[in-house]
Amino acid sequence: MLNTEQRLSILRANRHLSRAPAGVIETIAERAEEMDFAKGAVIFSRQEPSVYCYVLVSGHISHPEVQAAEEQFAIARETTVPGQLFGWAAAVEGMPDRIISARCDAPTRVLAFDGKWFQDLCRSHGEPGLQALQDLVRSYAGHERTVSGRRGWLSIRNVQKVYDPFGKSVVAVDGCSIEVRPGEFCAIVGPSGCGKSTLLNAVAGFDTITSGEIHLDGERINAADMKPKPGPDRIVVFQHGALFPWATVLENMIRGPIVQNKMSKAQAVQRARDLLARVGLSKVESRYPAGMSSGMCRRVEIARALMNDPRVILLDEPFRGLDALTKTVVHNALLEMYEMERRTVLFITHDLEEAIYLADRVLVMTTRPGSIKQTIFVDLQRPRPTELLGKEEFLQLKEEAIAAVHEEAVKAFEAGEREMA
Amino acid sequence: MTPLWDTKWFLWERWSRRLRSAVLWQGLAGIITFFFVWQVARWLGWMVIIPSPIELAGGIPEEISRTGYWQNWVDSSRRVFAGFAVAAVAGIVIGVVMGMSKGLRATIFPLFEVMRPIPPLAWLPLAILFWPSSELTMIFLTFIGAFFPILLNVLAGIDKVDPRYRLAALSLGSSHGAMFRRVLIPGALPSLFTGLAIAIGITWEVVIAAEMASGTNGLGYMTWDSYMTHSMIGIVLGMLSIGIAGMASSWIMRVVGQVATPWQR
Repeated sequence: MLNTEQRLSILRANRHLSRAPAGVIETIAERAEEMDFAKGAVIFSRQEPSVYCYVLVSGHISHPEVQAAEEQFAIARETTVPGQLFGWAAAVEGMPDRIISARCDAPTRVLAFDGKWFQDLCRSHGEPGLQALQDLVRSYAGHERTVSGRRGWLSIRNVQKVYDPFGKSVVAVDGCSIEVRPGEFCAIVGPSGCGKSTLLNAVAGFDTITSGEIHLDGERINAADMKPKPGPDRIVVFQHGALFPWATVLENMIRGPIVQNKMSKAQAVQRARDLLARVGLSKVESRYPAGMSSGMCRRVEIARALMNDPRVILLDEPFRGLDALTKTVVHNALLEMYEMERRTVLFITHDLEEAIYLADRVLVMTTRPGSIKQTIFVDLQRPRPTELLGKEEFLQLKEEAIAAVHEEAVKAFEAGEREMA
Repeated sequence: MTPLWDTKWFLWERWSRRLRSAVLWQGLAGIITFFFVWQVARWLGWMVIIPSPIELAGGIPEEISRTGYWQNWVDSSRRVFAGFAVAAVAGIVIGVVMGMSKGLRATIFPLFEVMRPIPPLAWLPLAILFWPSSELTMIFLTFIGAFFPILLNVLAGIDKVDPRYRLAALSLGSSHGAMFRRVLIPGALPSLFTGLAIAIGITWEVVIAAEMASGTNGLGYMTWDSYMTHSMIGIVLGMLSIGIAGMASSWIMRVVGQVATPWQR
């Protein structure tokens, strides 16, 4: 058994944990469980749910899934240095499954602590604690991207947007940080005017930000000191739809690849037809948007987004103004397309039910200045059939979420009243 | 079913539907009623100066068969289309340039704002002095009449292109050229055709007035000349001809517009 002093020195050797505020390491040292594994034992394996985080004390662990060491994210094929953290997926919000496994190549001793407990511990230490947790989460998301080889890791870091900084200076978004893991369906819910669309425009590159940074797959796409450039790796589906009315469905579909010179016209047409067939829209290929229902237009628009092979799809309240019946149809179409390719999706809405039904994670945004107030994990199996909307588990999730959002809505309303007065 | 047969059937269906529609017959009834009331008024002994429809029907064939009647159509149409074509090219080019560049727009627009309210005919004295021939004078006046509605509608059309489409095009990776060709142009087309339809109506108004003032031929001149020679039938025929010419031009513009913007229904 290690004594407290030994535990502390091992934990301090870790570069993430040593940056955590005073008290965190001490608490971990106190609470962590010591575990011993024999040579050849598997500590955890791929796709298991992640519960514990581990810190190596002694021994040798290998992660066969890791292809190459990645300095930036401190990922290695092996964990050999005492104090090294592994299995930290557990410390990341959303409880994703393990994406790598850990096998002991030698008798190994580790310190283990519960990931959820660790998150709460960090949060209880205020801003510095959150910062440490965020660093960890960010590293993890990058790590996951590198290991899984999937694209679409969206990292929004401390973003602030002030409109008209020298005049009335309206703070639309402040201190907003979101990590969206590759392939995650993330929804942001908030009252009207809370800065959701501002945030989305910043990610899309339509608008500048006044401080903070936005990264996509580790590449800086927007920051305070740069003029962002929109691009086909981040396709936006707009609130009222933006299919070009002067082009047929097919022409709309092939527009992206053709203006980017990515495909010849014949290739693009072929691919568009394939995609339309897969989502059941073949019949409308030669129609103009004006001749279709708005629900159909939205489906085509999502398909048009997929044509561009985007890393992240940004949906800006795309189903606003559709009637309830059309909405369910379009929801299912969106889910179907999501499950087909599992692109990262950032979905913005004011409709909580919709958000819970569609997303893996729902972030609740506060009113001005907008920042993330709360996270709701949606632990519902996919594919999600329409019947789910009436199931107990869904209703319960919804109720909890409504309670959480209600407070914000009241605040927003009162703030609005004050502004009017 | 051969495609040809299909087309024929389609055309037949379309025409028979038009013939059966109430709108067509209501329009005809309106026109017939107008002439009938006119005729009745003459029978009652009112408006003796103006020839009755029956007198017109008798006199018009003779007027039409006179040498020079159809030549008047050709002369007026030539002026209208020359002025209109120059105005369309100038209006579109300048409109697009102003629509694309904020700086140029700020420079040019105030000048045009001052010139726009000046009626085309107010340019007549200056035009007569400036242009070497009366033909050029008249074409210039039609140009002035058509230019501003085209320009303003092109500008409005470019402004009206929904910013969503620009953003969507940017998001899809459009270059400047593609943005211009594939978003601004098609987006502004409907408004452009509205402008062209208004403009062609105005050109007919202007050309007639110009011909009355300084022409030696054309439909406007014919009408004025009939007044000088006290030919009532000639006056009315001139007016009717101008009406039909204007209507036909507008109709052509509308058809061209429909063909050019098939997405509009």
